[in-house]
Amino acid sequence: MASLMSSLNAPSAAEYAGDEVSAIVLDPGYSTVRAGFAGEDVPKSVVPTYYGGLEPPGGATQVLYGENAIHNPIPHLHIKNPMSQDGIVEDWDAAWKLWEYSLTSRLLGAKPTPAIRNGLNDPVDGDVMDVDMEELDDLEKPLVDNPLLMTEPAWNPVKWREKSLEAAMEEWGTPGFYLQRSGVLAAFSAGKPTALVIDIGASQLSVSPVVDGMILKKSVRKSPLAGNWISQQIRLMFAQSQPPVPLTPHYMVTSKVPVDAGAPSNATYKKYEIPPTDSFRRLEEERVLTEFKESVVTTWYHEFGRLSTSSQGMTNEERAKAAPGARPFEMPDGWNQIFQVERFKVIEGMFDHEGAYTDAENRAPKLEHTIPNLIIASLNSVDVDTRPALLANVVLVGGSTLITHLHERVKRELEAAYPNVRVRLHAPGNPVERKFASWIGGSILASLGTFHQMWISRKEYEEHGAGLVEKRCK
Amino acid sequence: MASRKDVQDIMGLSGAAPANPPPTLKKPKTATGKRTAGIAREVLALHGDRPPPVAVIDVNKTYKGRPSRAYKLSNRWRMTPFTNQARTDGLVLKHWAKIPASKVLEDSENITMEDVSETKIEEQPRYEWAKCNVQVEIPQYTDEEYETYLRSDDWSREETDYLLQAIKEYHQRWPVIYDRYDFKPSALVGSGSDDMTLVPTSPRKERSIEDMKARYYNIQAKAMAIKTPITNMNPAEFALYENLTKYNPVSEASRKKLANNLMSRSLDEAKEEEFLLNELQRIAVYNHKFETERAEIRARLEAPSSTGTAMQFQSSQALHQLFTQLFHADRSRKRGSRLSVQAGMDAGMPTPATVGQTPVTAGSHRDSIGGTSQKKSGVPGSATSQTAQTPVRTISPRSETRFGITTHDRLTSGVTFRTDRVLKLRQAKSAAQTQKIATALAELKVPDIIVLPTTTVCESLERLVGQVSKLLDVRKVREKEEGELAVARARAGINTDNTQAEKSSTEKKAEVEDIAKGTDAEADANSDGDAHGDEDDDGDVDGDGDAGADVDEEDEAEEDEADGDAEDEKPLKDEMDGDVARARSSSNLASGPLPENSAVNTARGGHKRSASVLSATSTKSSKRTRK
Repeated sequence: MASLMSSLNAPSAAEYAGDEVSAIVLDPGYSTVRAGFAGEDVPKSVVPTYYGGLEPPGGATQVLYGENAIHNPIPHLHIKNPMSQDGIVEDWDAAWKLWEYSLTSRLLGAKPTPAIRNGLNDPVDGDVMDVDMEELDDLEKPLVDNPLLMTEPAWNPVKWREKSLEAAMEEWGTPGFYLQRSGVLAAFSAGKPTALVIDIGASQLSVSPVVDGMILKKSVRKSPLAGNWISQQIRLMFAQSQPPVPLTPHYMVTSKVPVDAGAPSNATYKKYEIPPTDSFRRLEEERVLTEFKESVVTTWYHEFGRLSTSSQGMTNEERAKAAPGARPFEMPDGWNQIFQVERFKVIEGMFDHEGAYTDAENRAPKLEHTIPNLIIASLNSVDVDTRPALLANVVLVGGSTLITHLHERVKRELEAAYPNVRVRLHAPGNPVERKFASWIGGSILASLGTFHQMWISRKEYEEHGAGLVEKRCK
Repeated sequence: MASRKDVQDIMGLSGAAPANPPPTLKKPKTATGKRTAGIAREVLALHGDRPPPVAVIDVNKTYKGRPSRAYKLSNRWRMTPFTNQARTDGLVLKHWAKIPASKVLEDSENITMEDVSETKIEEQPRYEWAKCNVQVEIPQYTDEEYETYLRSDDWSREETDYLLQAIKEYHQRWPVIYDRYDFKPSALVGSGSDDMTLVPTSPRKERSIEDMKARYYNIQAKAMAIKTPITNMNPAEFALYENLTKYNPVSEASRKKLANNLMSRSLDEAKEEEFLLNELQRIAVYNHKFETERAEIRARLEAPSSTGTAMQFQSSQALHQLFTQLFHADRSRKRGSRLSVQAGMDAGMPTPATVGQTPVTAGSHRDSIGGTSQKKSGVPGSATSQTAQTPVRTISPRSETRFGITTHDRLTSGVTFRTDRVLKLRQAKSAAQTQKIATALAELKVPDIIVLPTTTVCESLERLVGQVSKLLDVRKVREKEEGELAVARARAGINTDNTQAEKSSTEKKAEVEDIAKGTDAEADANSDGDAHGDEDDDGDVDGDGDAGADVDEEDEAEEDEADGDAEDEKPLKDEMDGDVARARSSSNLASGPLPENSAVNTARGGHKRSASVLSATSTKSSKRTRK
């Protein structure tokens, strides 16, 4: 009798070939850092990549990590991000500290002080025992017991790859280390060894073809049209609407009263002696924008094509104006408005470079940066025999893909571009699986019995040095 | 109550051994064997011995007690270090492993404070997943092997090594190999940075997948051939070898180009193609329908026409005849016809067996059993019968001969022997004729008993005999006419003008007769041949003097034809019986240089002309006689 799949009974080892060695999977991103034990289905520790630098004039600087610390409107709190807009590390030391925080805060906990140090065993007569203190230091490192699997974007420079291995070994003392591309892991999370992974994160939109668990490096295409860009579009839309939409973050409002749609807000604002920094304000505005993205923004995916095209004597934009389902949105200070065509337009630039909001500073995106063109460019550089397999396994992941109907639009664009090929789009319905796809893939990979031969062990690292990562993590 | 013992006491019987213990009443066992619960005993008893008519489900209503707790040791799980045999560095990782209960007990006795991590990596079984560590095998070669077999102008040794390494590393996944392929010649790498002049030993080339595959397959094939010579390969190896050597990068590249074009068709083109395909299918379906309808109409047209009035069917015999006619026509058209046999029986009509004997039949069955279906009788309706009898699978005439398939218009019932037929052929109506045929055959060295009378042999013999008898007829006529001529000449006196012509004509006749005697070949008595001869009459009548030359020419032409035919008829030739072939070969005359086997062909088609010559001469002479 076939037993039903449930979380209560574990699958047999032969079925999933699993062998958990309490490995840790670390998936750093631009917006959040995901960390957790391999074999679990969601990361236990999700920490924002934004961190706070408390720099009071004349005082000691202090670094604050974690969701609770960085949203506190205290003076002189500068919000920073160690990642660059490319999605790769910019400030290595800060990033490494942040990642360490993500591991130690939730996963590993405090280590007991070794018996030799806790003072209970101190010799009465003060004789110094001959103990290898260096070895003790090693034991105190956070990851001595846990192999570490890290993810990286496909365009991660060699320098950072080697540095990751070095730091994981030297600073964290991990017995085994492996670096895997997040595209491959996203494909694994969908259960596919061959897939075309479209990953729309906060800073980067990337298209990576994966064949048999190997990423095709030359065919990876990326563009900045991702979550942050959408936020920028919303800001532009707010600024360009008549009258401009005021964007007030939560921390500034004490109380509000309901007002009519479009009417100026009637709220009492908080007074700060020393107002929080601009970077803090920007972070808080970003939270409002995220809310806006989640509740209002949607993709034009109807059969009439893009928003700019017209058919039957009517442009799609007019059609969108008449379409039902206008969404109201209320700002933290009570200002509210109904958004109709704008909610389609802020995302349209991802597909149609001419449909984006622009101003003097923010140019229209390039044609080759739009999703359809990225995919076509990526596929065109792949061997023609592999293309149908890739198109039959398109995997759509990343937090920004959670925008309503985005996957339908992507599918429609793909079908328009390849009318003769069967296109199958896999976009997990569960938001967690979409947001943390590459972490989940890493969790699957690092819990496989067959994977344990892949780890770069400490011994190997000591023998060959950091250059080994290029040879082993292909 | 008095028990049996009391009674025994009273009766003074010894209680020790009752003489005849009363037979114990055996309870009749129920059919089911066990007592059925959930039904009253009385009710059950009503059924007697038989099983109850309705299956009684045994519902166990008894109270379930508490589950008994078997006291046993549960398995313990322990963080156990292990090594992976697939690794070379002996990395020790830890996982949770089940400790058998017996071991747990053992361990609990000697409780130690020792850290779990310090437990020895005890006699480890082989790591379960180490077996998944599979490496691809790439061909190995030594330096001299490379120099002798694998040298290529396009590929340096270094790059070849690099390619093979990449193939091993990426497990022959060509898209990945192509993606990661980044060969830098060491000459470039070494000197490039320091010296300004780059050594152009082997410039970096863009390698396509096809190039790499071609190189690799070539190497692999050669390595295979070096390892096992091609002659010693087993079928699987050879198939692989063949596959490897067959790889053609150019055609592969063009195939990919084509695939790319196919993939990048626009939606309109794709739709158009779909539309065209649909259209094509529609046309095909329409054609098929049209054909069937047409065939039906044709069949209907060939049905016996009603020319006369209905009055002619007033008698029952006329009706009978009409029915027979219709029935047969219908039956020959197809099985499952409208007029079934059953209908015929009901109407008191003759059974199909008798129908075959009635004079009015759709097809003519003059062909003998040995006759092939190709023989066409000029009777209308034979077309229908032929279409009806054409096997479902159409086989070309050539393969028909090859496989010995013959189609018969009609088969006589029972078994006949071809030897009988062969014997029968030698019999003529009169004894004199039979004798003459026998003489002719003996002259042709056809033996009296043909050892292997195959269909072809029978046919040939049949034709031969037919031709012989025809020739005999011709000779008879000639002799008669010569007699008449002699009489007429004697009567009218000799005309000097005619003498020369007559002489030549007699010579000619003698020649012709020689031919007729000497060869079966000349003696084609086909009906076609006859017709041909008649046509030729007009042309040949004028040119008396040329006739001899004509014959020669024609002989040559026949030779050519026969040669041509010989090519086509090989399978037939093979079937020829040796005896007949010998007979033919002995009869070499004008067509002396003919190959032996082509004699058949000479008999078949090549000699219509000579027959026509015969008939022409004979008619000429008859005309002259009339003059």
